[in-house]
Amino acid sequence: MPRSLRALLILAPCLALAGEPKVGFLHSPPVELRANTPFAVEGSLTGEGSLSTVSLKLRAPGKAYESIALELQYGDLYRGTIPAERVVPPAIEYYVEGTTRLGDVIALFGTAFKPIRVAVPGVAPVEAKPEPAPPEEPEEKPAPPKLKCKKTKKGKKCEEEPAPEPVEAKPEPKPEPVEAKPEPRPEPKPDKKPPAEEPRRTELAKADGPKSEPPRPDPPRTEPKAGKTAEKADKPEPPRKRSELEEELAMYAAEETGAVVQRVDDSSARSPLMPTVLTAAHLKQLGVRYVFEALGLVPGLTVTRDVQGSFRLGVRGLRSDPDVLFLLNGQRLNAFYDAKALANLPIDNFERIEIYRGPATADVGLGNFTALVNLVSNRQQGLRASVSGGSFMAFDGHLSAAKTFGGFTIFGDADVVSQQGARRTIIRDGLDTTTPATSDKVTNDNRFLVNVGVGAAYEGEAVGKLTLQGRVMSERRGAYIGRFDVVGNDSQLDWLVVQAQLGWERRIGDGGKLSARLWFDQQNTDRRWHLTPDGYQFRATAPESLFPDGVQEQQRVGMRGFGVDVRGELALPAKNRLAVGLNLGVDSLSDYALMSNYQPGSSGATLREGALSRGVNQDGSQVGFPTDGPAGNRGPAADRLGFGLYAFDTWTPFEALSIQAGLRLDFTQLPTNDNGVFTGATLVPSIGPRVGLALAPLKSLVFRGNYGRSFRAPTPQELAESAINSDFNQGRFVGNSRLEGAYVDAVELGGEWVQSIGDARLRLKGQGFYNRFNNPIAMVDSTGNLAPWVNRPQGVQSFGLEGEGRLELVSRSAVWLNSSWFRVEDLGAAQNGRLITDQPQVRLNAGFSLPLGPFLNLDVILRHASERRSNARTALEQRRRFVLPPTLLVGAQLRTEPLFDRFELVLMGQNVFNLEWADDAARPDRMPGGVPREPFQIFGSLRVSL
Amino acid sequence: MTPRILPLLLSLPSLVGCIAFNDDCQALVDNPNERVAFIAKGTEIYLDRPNARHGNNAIAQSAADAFVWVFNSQPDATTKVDFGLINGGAVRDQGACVLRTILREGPLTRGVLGEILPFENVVRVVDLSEQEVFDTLELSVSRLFAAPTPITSPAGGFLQVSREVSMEVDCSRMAGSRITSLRIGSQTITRGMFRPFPATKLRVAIPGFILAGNDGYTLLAGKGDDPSRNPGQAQRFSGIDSRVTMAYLLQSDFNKTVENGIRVDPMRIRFLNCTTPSRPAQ
Repeated sequence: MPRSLRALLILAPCLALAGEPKVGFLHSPPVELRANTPFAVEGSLTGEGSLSTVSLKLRAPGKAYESIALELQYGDLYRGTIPAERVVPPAIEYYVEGTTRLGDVIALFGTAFKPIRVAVPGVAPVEAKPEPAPPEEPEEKPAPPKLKCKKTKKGKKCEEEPAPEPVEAKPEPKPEPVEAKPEPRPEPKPDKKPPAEEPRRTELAKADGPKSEPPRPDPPRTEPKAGKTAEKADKPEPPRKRSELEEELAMYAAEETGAVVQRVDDSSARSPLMPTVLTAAHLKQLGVRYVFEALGLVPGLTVTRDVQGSFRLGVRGLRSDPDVLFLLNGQRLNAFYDAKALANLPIDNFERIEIYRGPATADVGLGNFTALVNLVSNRQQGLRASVSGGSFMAFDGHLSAAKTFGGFTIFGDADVVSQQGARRTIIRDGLDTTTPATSDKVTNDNRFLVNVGVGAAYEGEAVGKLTLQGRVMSERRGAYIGRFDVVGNDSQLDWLVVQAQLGWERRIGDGGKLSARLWFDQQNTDRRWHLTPDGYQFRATAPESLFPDGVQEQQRVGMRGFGVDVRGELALPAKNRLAVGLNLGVDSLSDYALMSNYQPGSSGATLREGALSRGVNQDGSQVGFPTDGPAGNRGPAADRLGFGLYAFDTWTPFEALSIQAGLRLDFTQLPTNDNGVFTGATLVPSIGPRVGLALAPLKSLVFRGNYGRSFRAPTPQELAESAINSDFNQGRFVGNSRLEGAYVDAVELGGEWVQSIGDARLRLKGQGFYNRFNNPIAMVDSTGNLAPWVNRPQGVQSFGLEGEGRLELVSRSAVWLNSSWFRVEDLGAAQNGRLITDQPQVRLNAGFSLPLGPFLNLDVILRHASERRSNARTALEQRRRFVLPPTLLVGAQLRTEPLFDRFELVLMGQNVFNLEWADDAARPDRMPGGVPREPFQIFGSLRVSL
Repeated sequence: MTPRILPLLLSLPSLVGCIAFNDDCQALVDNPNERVAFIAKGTEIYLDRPNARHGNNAIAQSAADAFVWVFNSQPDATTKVDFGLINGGAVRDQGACVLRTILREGPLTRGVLGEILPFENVVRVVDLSEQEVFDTLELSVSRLFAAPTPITSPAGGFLQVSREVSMEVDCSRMAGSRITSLRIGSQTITRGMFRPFPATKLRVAIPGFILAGNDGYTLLAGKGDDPSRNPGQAQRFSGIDSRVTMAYLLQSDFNKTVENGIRVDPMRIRFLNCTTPSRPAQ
């Protein structure tokens, strides 16, 4: 075959598929389904476009499609249920399509030609032998609705062909059912003489009764040929053989659904933004147990731990907790006081994790300065449970379930996590010069977490959809090392989160919808730090400087917030879709206390007898609280009102082009000051424009670009936190009342390309970014004493590249790789101190999955981070230098296919070569070994689906 | 993959230039080789701890002079600064990559000065009463070692003074009563005299670090936030101590000839019965 012809054949499908409209459906097909069990199909509509309906087309392999309506739940989430009687071995096939307001049918997820196949283990039902159709029947007899596709200059366009009248009177086609009801279709009259196998038909066949699948072949799969020969070719294969085949194909289909290397599917291809979506299926393949482990595999992100044991997310070279917005089911997780988020949750109960680097769309509230991480809980029907145990006394238990009763749906999930954690040796800490004989300086990584979320939804014609959900999370853990620069093994950090939200949404008119949400958030942290070990004595000659229970500090913070979000969507003429909305929220510190058991002196400290009480400084003054304001008033940093308005429009002038433009206008309550002294508060306006463009000259090739500007307000901690001023607290960061908000201007340019080569599929994605931070807030220690958070007026800039590739070979086999590179410069530093180097400038993650026989899979995951060194913005940073060598961590796991339809076993190894690796410490000069990270760990898991 | 290949692969990004780091051994100033002053001919300036924290130090004296200059040289300065102070702990002999205990005659560059004054403390100004000035300086000298006690771990809170100050310290006396004479500008301040603030006030330029109450100066804590004391902050040269000092030296006579270069002024603080720091080894 000539090369040019070969190339043409390869390109033909791509060209044929080019020009699809710019909406998609973000959905994770299951690896397999249990027979005769209903399956809730849900996914999010992505991209921008105006659709009047979304429906799922379902069939048994080789049969005709039937339609199941997917209903809008909230936001962009659609859901429908495949009834139990349709879930029969060996597999089901489905795809999702939508209907535009103009009546065009567009494929959203899969196509009629290439539906998603999901294996249904078990013995395939023996089909009733169809009556051989006369050869002329296809041309004359009524047929099920089929897609009529034609190639145009803009690509391929499919629309449902009107069905001809049936021979016999059958129910007229009705509007799509609300839920999980097969679309009435005109069918040929069934054979009145059932074949011999008829008594053995499965429940599906019985339920279908006379409306069981027609004998005619499915046009897309069997070519438009009729007659006995064609029908024979389409007869069910022997059950065992068919089952294996379907299983293989189903697994292949599952591979398509998302990965660390983001899939390129219809849903994501036309969005100007370039998120990474980790679906539940791929989270299982990545050898990770918690959210931050998964985030560490995303290009552009680096996860580190600090001395306190908190996981910190570096995004494109910059690491700051308030720069990253964490959402859990759409509700903010970041604590009001310090913007830390209790986000290191087990992955078991998540349907997916979405990561947006840079400011997301304008409808996302403030906080997504460098990234947005959205955690979405699994709300699929059924009951799922898993337990795992492993190294260092780790035990996890997880449960999630959902059940629908008519218009009511109840759902819930729960996690219980317990671990002793690895005990890594701390080579040196800040007390070594005074207590060199202190032994057993080791990390303390014990943790106990309970996470319970429950909710209910009601949907009715009159009220629309109402959803009420609540969540309680409670964590108790040790400080990994300690508060600052000394090992304090007895430290105890408690965190309680209570969240609730009440949502309502309703369709308005044709293509519009209105939604509203009330939310409530209460978070309490109680962190009791041991600044020294028990029995520490500052001066041997001063008995009053002996601390039998160690030097202690306790910081207690209560935060409460509530608010309302309102959003409306409207389809406008000229292919525009407009979203407008507002966010209103109030956050406040409901409690704050900083207590201690010591009185600092000029050299050390003396014990304050009794219970811990309000901290005092070296001069005897009481330490300030953020809740303390001028003249006995409440501190202006302790309360914050936020009000935001946004409008966001997507315009699709023609099919290959999508243009987004949006604007956020926010007003944030921030304190005012006079020469560093709080004087009150004012509403600070900020504007965040967003512009994006996606150009898809081919379906397989998409170019994207976007620009966004976002505002980041200083947190109460950054504005008003105090530390007890003592000799041994020097170097810690304290609030700065002069802080101002920061802006980021972010630009991304990139492209994606997909190539199918036979059964293999290659996906490549690349993007470049440039971020300019104006007046960013940073922790820059220039004095070595209590150092305030500062603005960097000259700004910070970063630029870099990110690339991803994924090659899906055969069933259950894939190879993937992603890499990122950045350069960050602090423009306020001297010329030779500008580079920010405490994050690895080059990251590379890679992995592969291999089937080991029919029941076992092997996943191998590699993580590489390049060398890290201390920053050099100030002389102190330059002199407190550290060098963290490059790391290459290898993880591997053996994972079974579902056993007995219900069970999965996983044996997971992390850091299997037991590499020594570490993160940077707050004071590398006092803790030169840094923060040692986890050694080799092994875990076993059992997952059950009922 | 052999152990030899692995490090090579891991370091590949740096080999191909993807990774860049700051120069660890260069001072964090622009134009690091620019001369800002001369060290006077025949002079050695000692930067080790005893000489920076237990005796007059020429670099620290220049910094204290610069603090006064940065305020008083402003054309629109309404209130003149009376004197300047800097803690001896602000002067360091540890360079970015070298130990520099002695500065010998010749040019003093911006880079070297940046390494000697590494802390980026803001220069602030505030009004103090005579009593507060006296107490501050008494605290400064309270931790000096009386002869013949050897100097061990000298306190970084020892204050170097600007040329407006002339004082005498007797280390044989008890802490708190060691200053035997104190003159600031034309004003002599005698012990025991107490004039309620602000009847007599002196305006001092001082690092923000000290004014925040650090190094034991708790008596100064909060005074920089008291509007009645007319607090302020240097605006020129970023207000940072090292940059202010560089700017001052650059335009001073110290930068004209090596003969007019920097040398220590032994008369600013006269030490009686105090241990004298020796010349460092190198």
